[in-house]
Amino acid sequence: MEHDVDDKKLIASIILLERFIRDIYPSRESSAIQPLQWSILRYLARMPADRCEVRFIAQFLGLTRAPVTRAVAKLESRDLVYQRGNADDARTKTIFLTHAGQTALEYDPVIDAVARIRTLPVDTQQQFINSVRSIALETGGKNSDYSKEDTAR
Amino acid sequence: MTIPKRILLVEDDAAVCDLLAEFLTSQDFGVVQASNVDTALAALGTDGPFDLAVLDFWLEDTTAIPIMDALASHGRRTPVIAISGGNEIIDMEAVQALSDISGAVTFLQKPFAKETLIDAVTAALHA
Repeated sequence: MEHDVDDKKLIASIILLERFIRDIYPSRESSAIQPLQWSILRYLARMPADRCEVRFIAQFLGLTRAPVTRAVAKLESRDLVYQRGNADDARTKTIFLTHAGQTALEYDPVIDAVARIRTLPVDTQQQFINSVRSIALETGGKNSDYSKEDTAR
Repeated sequence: MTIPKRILLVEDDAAVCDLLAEFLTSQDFGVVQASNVDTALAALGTDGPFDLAVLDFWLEDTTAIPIMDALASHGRRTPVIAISGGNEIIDMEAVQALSDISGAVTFLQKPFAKETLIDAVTAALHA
């Protein structure tokens, strides 16, 4: 019973899933917001201000500080975030979304993906959710891809 | 006299569990503590229903998801605050997503300030 699903079908499913994800991040140009940068924007939108420092973001994403620092600098250069020194500790800075950063989140590629999934029957949406939850729990979700130079900028 | 809101608190670190319970009790909540999935599910039967659940996502070698699923399957909707201090296998972005999928209204990254917890509890009870 363990191998009653054809490997070929599983491989094909992963290829389609990969294509689906690639499709929602259509632009690989350096001017486009990259996946790590989107993760940081989402984090800043959701977390309380006292957690919006590079060290906490890095811990949350399972990364070292270096790629997060670079990504924040890139977002700051595009006026999507700004940093303010902490009164209690001059070595640390709190990161905030700018108005442009908040507006950018309205165009988060994940929202587009959700819209596509929403077109499926409700049962299929629930099956999708359950499958993704099982995959994440059973196989782990460590994301080393973010450490790649092309997404860290 | 108002009836205190009742909270199911599930945390496998006994010291943290006691600390959180002491704080929540001092804020006039009724707290039932559990340290693992089995005792939490038993508490749902013997001490429920609860107005809120505060669940450590990682419980020993498993997760709080069965508790969230059990809460979701009951007729009465009990809001869940998931908390986590991280794990070597799955990063917290994924844990937060898993908590969202499983019905948590809020995810708190440990360690957090008491004010952060009380803000989350207040918001969850009024959601």
